[in-house]
Amino acid sequence: MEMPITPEMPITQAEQAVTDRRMAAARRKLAAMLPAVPLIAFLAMFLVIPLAIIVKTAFQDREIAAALPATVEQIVLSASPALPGDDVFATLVDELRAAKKSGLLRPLARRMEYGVEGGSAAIMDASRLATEDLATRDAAEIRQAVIDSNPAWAGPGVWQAMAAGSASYSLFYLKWALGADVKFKADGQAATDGTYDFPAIYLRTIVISLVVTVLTVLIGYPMAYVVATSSGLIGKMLVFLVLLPFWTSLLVRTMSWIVMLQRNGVMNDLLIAGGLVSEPLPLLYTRFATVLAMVQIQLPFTVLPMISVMRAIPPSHVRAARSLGASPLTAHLSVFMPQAVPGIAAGALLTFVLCLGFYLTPALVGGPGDQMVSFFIARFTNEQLNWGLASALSLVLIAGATVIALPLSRYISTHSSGRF
Amino acid sequence: MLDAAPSDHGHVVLSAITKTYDGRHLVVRDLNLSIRRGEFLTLLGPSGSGKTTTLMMLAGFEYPTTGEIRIDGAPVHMMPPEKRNIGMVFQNYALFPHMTVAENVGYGLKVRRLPRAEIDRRVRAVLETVHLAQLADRRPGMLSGGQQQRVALARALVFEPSIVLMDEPLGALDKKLREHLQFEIRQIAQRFNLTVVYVTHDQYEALTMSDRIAIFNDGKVQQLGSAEDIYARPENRFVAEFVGDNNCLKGRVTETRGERTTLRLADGTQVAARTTGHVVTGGLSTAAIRPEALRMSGQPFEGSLAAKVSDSIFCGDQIRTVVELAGKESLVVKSAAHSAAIHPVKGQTVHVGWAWEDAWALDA
Repeated sequence: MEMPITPEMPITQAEQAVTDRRMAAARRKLAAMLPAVPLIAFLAMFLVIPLAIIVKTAFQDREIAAALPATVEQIVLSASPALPGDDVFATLVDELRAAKKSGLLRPLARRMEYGVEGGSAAIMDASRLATEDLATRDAAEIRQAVIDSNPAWAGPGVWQAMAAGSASYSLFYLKWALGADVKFKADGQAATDGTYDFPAIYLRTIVISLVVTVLTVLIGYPMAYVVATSSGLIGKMLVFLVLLPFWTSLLVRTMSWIVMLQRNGVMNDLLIAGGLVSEPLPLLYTRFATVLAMVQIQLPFTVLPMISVMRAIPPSHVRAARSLGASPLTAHLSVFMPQAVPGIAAGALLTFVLCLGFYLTPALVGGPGDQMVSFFIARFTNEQLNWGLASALSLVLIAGATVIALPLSRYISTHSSGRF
Repeated sequence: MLDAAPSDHGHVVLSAITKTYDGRHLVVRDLNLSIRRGEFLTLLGPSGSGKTTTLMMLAGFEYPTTGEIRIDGAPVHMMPPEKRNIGMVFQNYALFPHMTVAENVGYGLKVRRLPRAEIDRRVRAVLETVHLAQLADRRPGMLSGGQQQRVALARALVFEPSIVLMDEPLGALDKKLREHLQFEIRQIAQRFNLTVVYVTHDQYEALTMSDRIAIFNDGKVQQLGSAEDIYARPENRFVAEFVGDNNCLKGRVTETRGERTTLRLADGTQVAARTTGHVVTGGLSTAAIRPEALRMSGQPFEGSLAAKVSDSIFCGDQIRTVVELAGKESLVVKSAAHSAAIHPVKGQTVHVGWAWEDAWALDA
């Protein structure tokens, strides 16, 4: 449509026409988005908001500042925070009294335990003698009484932990989740966390995920090739077998591995009947069991993208290579496989990312040394109620998966001509 | 390669080939074909006629159920394709999308482990033959259909096979380009003295390119001969109807006198045609007459039949007139558009006839 602009026509009318057209285009775009509204609403409710809450929880660190605001202010402002003066003890006792009443004492004690060895006991001991009677005495006496209640108050560790937790938002949990030493000993030295070695847990998570990914690709590639290239009954049967696990729940599949691998299970029976071993092998609760079960569960996710890419490779390509003198193997490696790479990458990526977050299977068939990050997230959430650390671990997991997945998924989308 | 081929044998010989996939239905039955060195042979037929299966057996992607294939006397029918040294151009070209044009073309040399410099030299030479030297570094996805076709041709030629198979290589191209490439393929085949086996379902392509044409139907070669043979002397009704247009009149043989056979149509009309091996006095037969062999006039003439014009189509250089005989049989008459003779109008009564030598009495 052309809008002739004649001198008679006021220029505003032409401008109006342009605006109208833009508005119409914007309305069309908006209307095209309408069918996605339920999904967008769903994602906002169940992905964006929980994620925001996780981020907030990971950085929120307000128990100390909430219970002991004045104490914290005094030690942060003082010249030597680690060795506070008598007046700080007086403020501490005042605030502990208030905290007892307002219910902030227990969270404070828990948070102090995260920051310093014996922190919880120190808080509870001091709070026990923080009565009205003590508050009326002079500062030096209060100091002596507090130190008598728990010797940790004499060392710098408690005060350092208090100063470190003085802000309402901090990197405390994130540093902890990344394996940095965030805990002090009573004498002010950094204490290493002997219970949880998070870098080792991340490394274990990545190693298990990599091993599972490599195995699924190695097993899945020939399988996908057969499915993709055989048109008849065999192909249909194989697709059925690949998809079969999808019809049963993850829990059932994992439980069946327990039946398979337990001490008097099917696998041991077979091994003994075959004369390969004389004693039942400890198969369950091992790294072997974890990897085996995960491979079985992940296989469809690896194979399906491969099949879809392989099906799109015309059989005439391999034939052309053969007619040009290539052996079947050479033709496969030089013509078929390079074209299947986007499918392999997509399947591997999907499997790897899903493996990073595996919880149930390692928890049920793995040993204590086979637990992955998700297991510890669950433990801190459900058992220890350390939600800050659980959230921080989740953030590290999400960030790690993103860093690994993004470049690969960009590679896949540029090399698969829009099939994904 | 064996050069001392017996002179009475063809370069490529297929003898008594049958092929079945399911053990019951024969896709190719009792095929005997001898292809001469340097010959351009086209396998022409409808889809499912066995022509592509025959090509695939030549290439080595299918193995004959019985019978044998010999190249220069040596049996090859159980050899895998990579050992046969036969070039092949595929339908839709089958270019490797992840390789450049030069890599595609050089593939056959690379797997033969030729030195790099030699590969480069031969790739450049063959790309110049097909006028694509300037596109050597492009990917196939960036080329036009015609250019892709040339790459496929270059790739099949680069290792200098003496036999090149082509499976509907021009099927995906538009008419103008197809005609141009038909000419080019023919030129290249002659220049390199290639033995070409060419599969197509486009009869005009077959007529214009081939030294000989094998007409396939129902797993059998219906007729093998030059384009002119096939067009002018069809051996059976299938060939007559498949190649070009033909009018078919079905009737009973009433009399055979030497070369001339007389048929009586359903309504009793007598028509004459050339005698063939199919003719049995008293049996059914079909007379096939080319539309251009029919004469149409406003006045009756000797041997003419009265007919009513049911349609008249102007086709530029000619007029096709559809007429209906008394017994409801339809005939198509082709006449030159400029001819002053007769410009029929629908519903008009005309008289059509033909010289009996132009009609063939074939199987019913």
